Amino acid sequence: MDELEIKQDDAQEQEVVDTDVPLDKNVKLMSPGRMVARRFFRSKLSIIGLIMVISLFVFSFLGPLVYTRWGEIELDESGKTEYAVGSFTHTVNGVEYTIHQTTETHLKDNFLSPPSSEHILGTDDQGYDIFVRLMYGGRISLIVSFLSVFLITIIGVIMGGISGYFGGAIDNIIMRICDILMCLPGVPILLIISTILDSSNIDAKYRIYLLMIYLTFISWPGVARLVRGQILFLREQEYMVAAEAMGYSTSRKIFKHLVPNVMPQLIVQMSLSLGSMILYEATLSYLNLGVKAPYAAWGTMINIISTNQDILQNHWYVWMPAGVCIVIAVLGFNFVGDGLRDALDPKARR
Amino acid sequence: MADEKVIASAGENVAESAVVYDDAALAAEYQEKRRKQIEEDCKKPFDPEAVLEVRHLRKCFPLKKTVTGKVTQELIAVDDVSFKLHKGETLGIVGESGCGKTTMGRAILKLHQPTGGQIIFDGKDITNYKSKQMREIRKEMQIIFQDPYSSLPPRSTVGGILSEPVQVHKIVPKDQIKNYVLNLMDRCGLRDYYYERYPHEFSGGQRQRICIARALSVNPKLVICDEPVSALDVSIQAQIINLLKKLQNEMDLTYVFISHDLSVVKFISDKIGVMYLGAMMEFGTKDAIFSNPLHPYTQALFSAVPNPDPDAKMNRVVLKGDIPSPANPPKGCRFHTRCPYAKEICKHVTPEYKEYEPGHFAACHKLDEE
Repeated sequence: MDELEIKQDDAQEQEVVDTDVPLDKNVKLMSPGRMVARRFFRSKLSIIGLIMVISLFVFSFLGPLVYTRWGEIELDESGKTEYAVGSFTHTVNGVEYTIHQTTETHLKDNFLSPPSSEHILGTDDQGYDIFVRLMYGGRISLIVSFLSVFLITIIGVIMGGISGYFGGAIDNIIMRICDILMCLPGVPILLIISTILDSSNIDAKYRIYLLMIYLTFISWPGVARLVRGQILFLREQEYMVAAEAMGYSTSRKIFKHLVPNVMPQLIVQMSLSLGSMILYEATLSYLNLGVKAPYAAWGTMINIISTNQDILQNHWYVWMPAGVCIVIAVLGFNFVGDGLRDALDPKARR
Repeated sequence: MADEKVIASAGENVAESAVVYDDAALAAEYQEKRRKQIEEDCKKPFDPEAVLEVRHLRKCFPLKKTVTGKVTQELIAVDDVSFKLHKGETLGIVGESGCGKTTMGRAILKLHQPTGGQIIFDGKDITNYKSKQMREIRKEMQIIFQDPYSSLPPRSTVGGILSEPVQVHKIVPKDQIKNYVLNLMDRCGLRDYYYERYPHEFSGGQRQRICIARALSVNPKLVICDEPVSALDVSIQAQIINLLKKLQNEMDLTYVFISHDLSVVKFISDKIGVMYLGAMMEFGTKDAIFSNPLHPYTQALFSAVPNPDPDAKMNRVVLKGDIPSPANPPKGCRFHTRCPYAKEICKHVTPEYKEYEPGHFAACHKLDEE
């Protein structure tokens, strides 16, 4: 046991002064948050995604405040004159006559007018300004998708948290509910709900919200599973045993110690599902289930072509911008999500 | 044949060759005796001087269950451990890996609900406390973990980690928390500018200091140190051990120090308990155990300690084989499969855990013969 005595002497000299290489007081180390931000902004793709998303926000929420020339459901009633040129031949007593005829029609609404200084992107088949409707459509898309992703996340975190933390019978029940909800087909049931809404006189403005609530209802299991899996892993970590030994309450353990550690995965999941929610909203509106005329949504703006072949062929400015907006939104959110996933990966140092 | 069968019980002096042991009867007899002993012991009044008194602590983990939830096979991690610990003392627990040291430590803190026995902490029987009652008493008893890397939450600053328990248990008024924590950090050898830093910025030794500071932030009476130094290198080990000793003097702490490093245990402990396969094999004061180890297992453990003197003649007792599975412990004395002195009786009769010298307990048949 001589070894021990030596050790003891050694230690007494060094007491309190730790020999671990002390970090200099002036060395500023980055907090995990700042390191993530640095990694995020290192990737060009995520910067592009962020710019896309931010510009869409500015466009949809500030745009209508700045550009007040036209309203969302304000028809351009400046009138429009259409000329129809026709010619037909008549044969009278063997002599052929060709008659050229021009019909001049005066219409009340200025519809399908091409881009001009009056209408930046022209007007649609009713005479609404497309540029302005893009902004309002963007508002609907972004609000609806943010709202439902927010709800999905909250429900998912609560259910997944309870399921993962308590385990046992509760876990089993919640997970079976998830299985059932994941089996429900989305679109067919949406069609049924939409028919019910049609017959129950609900303001066209609010039906999209009701449909999104349904979508939220069937989408939270994905998040719940993610959170549950993560919590099952974290629960076994020693710092959770330490939290138990400290006598923290269950809610503190879940919400202060477990959930913050699930946040990285959750943020990635949220930004990726924002994109898919925008697509869902557009699909619903395109199928005439979501936002209905006269209110604008990107989906309904594209829907115009489904009834009128002529617009698809000759008036690209009616449907193209809405499509571009959808692509930008989905791409933007996916780029941001991918960037966050890489940035939050703890294995990717610095 | 049946007429010749003699049932022997512990301590009976029968010529070995003539004895046929009836294992089932012996087991039943032992169980009955033990049950009575436990019942009797658990009714005894609590020792008012002891900070911690553990009586016949037992912890089993179910391995197999039937559909109805009945346990058909279980792992006995801690079996019948008893000891008393007074204020300011340090109890060192030694034993091989997997012998139930950590489980015992956690069962004392009720991080695992004990299957049987009694835990008396500070004059209160906490064995059947509900989790809410436990939460109140947690600030009196703390734990320091083996792995300083996984026992600190990665997303809080050192300041956050240390002030959270102070805040939750309302140790000091809110406006004094920061000063209190800085003072605590100073006492644990942490510099004040670490307050804003994150655990991942520190080395193992510093992290263990943070863990110690966290455990002491609530002014506990009892601290269970679950191999606090085995993840650290030797020079840091000495610092941490000295820190623990210094803090013990300052704060009048009682330690249960779990380790497999005998030199560390010798340095810090007042009493030592030797565990093997979930059971306490020998228990006594440090001096008694080191000068006169009674149990063959303790002797074997001590002979395995390396001696820095190359010329020293060493009489090593090398144990054969591995530690048996606690899911299926050997019959009789649980050490008989590896004991160099094992006899026929050891294979069948469980030795009694008795006081051989004042305050020096052991469980071995060999001692009864002498």
